[in-house]
Amino acid sequence: MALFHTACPRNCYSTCTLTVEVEDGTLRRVLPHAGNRATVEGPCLKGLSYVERVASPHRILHPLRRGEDGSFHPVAWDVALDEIVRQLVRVRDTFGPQAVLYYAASGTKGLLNQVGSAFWRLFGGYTGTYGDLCWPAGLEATRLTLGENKHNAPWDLPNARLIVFWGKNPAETNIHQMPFVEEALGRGARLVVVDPRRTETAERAELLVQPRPGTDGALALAIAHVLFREGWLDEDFLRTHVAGHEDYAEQVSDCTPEWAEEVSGVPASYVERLAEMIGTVRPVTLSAGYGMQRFANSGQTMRAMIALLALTGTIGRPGAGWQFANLQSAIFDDVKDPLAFYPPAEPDGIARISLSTARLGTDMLRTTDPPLKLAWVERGNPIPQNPETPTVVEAFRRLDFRVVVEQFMTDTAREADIVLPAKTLFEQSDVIGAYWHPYVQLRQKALDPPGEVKPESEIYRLLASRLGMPPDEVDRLIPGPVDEEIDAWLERRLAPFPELSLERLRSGPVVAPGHEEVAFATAVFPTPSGRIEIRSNEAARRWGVDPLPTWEEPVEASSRTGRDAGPYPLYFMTPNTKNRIHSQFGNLRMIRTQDPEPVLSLSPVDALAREIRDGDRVRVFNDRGALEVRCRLDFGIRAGCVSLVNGWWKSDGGAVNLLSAGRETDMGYGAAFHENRVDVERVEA
Amino acid sequence: MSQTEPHPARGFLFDPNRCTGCAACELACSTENALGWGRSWRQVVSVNPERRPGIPSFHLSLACNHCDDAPCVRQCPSRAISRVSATDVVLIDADACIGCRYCSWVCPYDAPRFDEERSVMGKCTACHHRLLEGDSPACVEACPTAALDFGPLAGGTSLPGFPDTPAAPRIRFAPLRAETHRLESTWTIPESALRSFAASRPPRPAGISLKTEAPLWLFTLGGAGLVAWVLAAALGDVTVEPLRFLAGALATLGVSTLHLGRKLRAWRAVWNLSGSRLSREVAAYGTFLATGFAAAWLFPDSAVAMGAAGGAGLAALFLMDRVYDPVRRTAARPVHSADVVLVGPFLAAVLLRWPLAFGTLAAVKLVLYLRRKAREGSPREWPAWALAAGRVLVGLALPALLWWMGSDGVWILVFAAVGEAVDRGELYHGLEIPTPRAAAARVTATGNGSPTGGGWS
Repeated sequence: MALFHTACPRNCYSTCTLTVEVEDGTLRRVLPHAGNRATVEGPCLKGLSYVERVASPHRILHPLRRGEDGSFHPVAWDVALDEIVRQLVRVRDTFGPQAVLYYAASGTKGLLNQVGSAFWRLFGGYTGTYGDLCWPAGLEATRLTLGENKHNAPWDLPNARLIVFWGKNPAETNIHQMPFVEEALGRGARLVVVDPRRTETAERAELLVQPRPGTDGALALAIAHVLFREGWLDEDFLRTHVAGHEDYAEQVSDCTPEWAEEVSGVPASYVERLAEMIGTVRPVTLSAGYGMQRFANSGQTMRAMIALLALTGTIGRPGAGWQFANLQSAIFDDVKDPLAFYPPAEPDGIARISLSTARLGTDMLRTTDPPLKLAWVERGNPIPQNPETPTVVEAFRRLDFRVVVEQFMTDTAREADIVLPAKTLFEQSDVIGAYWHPYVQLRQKALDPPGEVKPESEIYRLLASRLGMPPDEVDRLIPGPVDEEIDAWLERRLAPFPELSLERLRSGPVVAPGHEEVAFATAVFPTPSGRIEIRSNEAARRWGVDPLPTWEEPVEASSRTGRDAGPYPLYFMTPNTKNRIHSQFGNLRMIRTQDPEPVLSLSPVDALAREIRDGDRVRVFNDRGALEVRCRLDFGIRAGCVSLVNGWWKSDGGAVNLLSAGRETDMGYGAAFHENRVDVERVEA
Repeated sequence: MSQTEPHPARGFLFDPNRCTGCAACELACSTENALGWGRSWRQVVSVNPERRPGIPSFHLSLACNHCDDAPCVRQCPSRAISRVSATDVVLIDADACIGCRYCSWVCPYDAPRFDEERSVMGKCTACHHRLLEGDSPACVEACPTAALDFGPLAGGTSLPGFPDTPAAPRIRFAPLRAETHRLESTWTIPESALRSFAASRPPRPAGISLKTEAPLWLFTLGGAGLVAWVLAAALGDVTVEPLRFLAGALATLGVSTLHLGRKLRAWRAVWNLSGSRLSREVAAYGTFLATGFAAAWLFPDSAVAMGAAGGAGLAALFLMDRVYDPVRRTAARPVHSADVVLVGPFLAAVLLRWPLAFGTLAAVKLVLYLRRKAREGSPREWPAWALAAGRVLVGLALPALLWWMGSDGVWILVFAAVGEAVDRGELYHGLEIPTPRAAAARVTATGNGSPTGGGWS
């Protein structure tokens, strides 16, 4: 029996450090690791389910080719690679390399992910994607306002006297934050949750503010109005560290709590009360979730929220500040600026075309010069997870040839011509950062890949040699298959940081060089003015928005039916669940036992109006698509909102993006796919 | 409580404020004890999952509480469950367990589970093997919010939704903060919508029904029939033919072993006469069969011998009914119209052609039956109506009518027996294993969800 220290590379706040027990080449147990102060109690249920995930009988262990009848059959690696190369060469020769779409998503974090784009550059270029489904609007709002995306260390939270979780439900999405919340509450801190749903996190709060979805910005403006009216401002802080607050006072002079009540449905008295808490309690930690910034108006909404902390001077102190993303461990990449998501067309003389991640299906169909002919998908399941699933399916089906690298037969893998087996986190070493805690971690290899599984780096090398790519270039960019070669490649990436080495990382996580426990403690804000910019001319210039935070109705609300009941009167919320990371884990029996089928949460108010009973099968629909699922009455969800967690596969009958629209957020190239309106009706048995 | 011991007993310590209901504990249990993916000895039970206003929504992570006065230890007929001294936890000896499932009936915490692969019962061992090494149970180690601990007992003994029983469970709770700190929401569901959905969601069925207990249904009916036959022989001119009686005896014994996971260990069922209702039932029924057969074979003309056997039979029927006490839906109403202690004499009255005894017992059964139906509320579905009407008409009215019309045929007995079988089936259908899930559901069912409706203190 051997123990390995490793880390979970999922797209998740917690990015847990794990100790894994391996016996006879089998993963026996996943255990806590005390070296990470943020995740010291151990992984969540998903981390524990890895014992099944790596050994699942449903795992893809061989290359698969789709036959004439649509079913998949194992083929030898040589057969699969020869077929792929034949198609790649044909497409490149006939239409040019840009007829190939290289689509990679957030399925697994790691520096070795870079070998993908390196390979496709050697291929002669490709069509890629810009933007991101997850967090860009909030990242950009934070960057524009504070200059940088960072926040206090997770273990600083107990110093807060007031915690506001605005659109965040850490009990499900960042469970390791909950012990810190509990510690804060034990010390007498107050907790407010803003969410249309009465979430698991809200159960610990004294106040649950339940606005109409998409109106959080209006609430934030009205709170600012009260702060100015009552003089709950930190004048010294404003004078030295903030730009644009005078203009902002003017801007919010009409944004009264009464106005906010009319817009958001939150009674004015509660807006006043929340403003008084934010205005008078110190220190305040305001932690915003990601779901709320997937609206067309959400960059401006997030800027309005950060402005509250600027006005009250609650930034740069223990227990205080804006918590959105802590990129202090993102020392290897440029994720800090959304332009990094938008690779310039010819950075090195090789033409690359970028499509919008938010509008993937539409953009794929629209591209004509050249038209897309072949797609390579890795680390992602775009069919159920990208906005407007029906269009994404259509776009994939229109291609000549599709290759999907996967562990399981996902909705996207089912559309492939060739499926290549993908490694798990335990089967190749890599180095990862995080976006909540500040650790850099080694995701250490603990198992040999089972069956015929090959890591992507090895697949790319095999393709490169078949395609006749220059061997020295390939050797430089893509490590060889032997563990030592992987380690050497990683060491080269770590070389600029004397604090980091594989040797050191092997025993556990290491805090990123230059980490600040209290972010912005030195009051250095790397914005154009060097101050916190409530007024951001860069925002206006780059994104065409008002330089000051504003609130507008999100597109789906105003362009379709506004606040009136129209053909689709219900807000369709698609939050994350504790049981999955996006579309991963849900296929495992361990998880399926917890969460057997997609279920729509519905207010009894809306059920009554539609003669729906608890447990009925219902149809959720709009003009983009429809879903048929069971419904459960939820007495805590705001009437007019229905909720179905995202990540169910199409083949489970629960893919929420069958109903969503592909559109971008007001800034950052994010996807505004959380603003969707639907109606619900009972399905006759 | 074991306050006299030098060290306080150890047990699970649970903080409902920390628990988010994530179920990592269940998965850790599954892996540690190799139960198979998706199976666990621990369960997370949620209170108010539908989030009715004015009632906190929270979770309990529960497994075996290794109770001081554990009903499973007392009631196990084969003495397979005991407290082991090394770790002071309650363990099931898989080599002694007969797989009768009775521990799952008597445990208020739904801890023992039938292990389909080994055909014996399994339950949380508090990771006995880890305790021996000085480690904490796997669920405790895995809990990502440190809501679960194992150590010297300290803290409250009750939590809303946790079954209140005299078993002295070794579990302690931190006080639920939401009980004193109420969540205030800016949006509250209108009273009208609340009233329209007043009934709480029923708890999950707890693995006991006529379908699962069909062998016991046949066994108890057959047993009552044999007792009726012997009683009739003792009191009238009915003859018990030894070989037919023996055949009946073997048939009932055979069918009773059908529900055992380990049929070859059936003999162990009488290992715990001093503590187990089940052992007493089996022993008493065995005594009845032995005396009944002896009387029929050796003293066929002796009313005294038959009477003694009949008495043993009545005692067996009484003890047979007692087996079901823990799973009757309401312990306060211990008499059911289909209790075998009534079925036996009733069938005896039919065999004896004693109209007065028949009439009296039929009236008692009818009253009990109708009272139960009234309590259950009017059955909305027509099959339930038809079944109830059929039971009364075929099982009670028709025999009475035939009798009154002077019929002396076997049909009276057949109809009466059919009625009894239906009623006995309803008894099994109505059984309910007390579970924490049901207890948790009662928290929201009693407070009707209205902020002013009471029930939640």
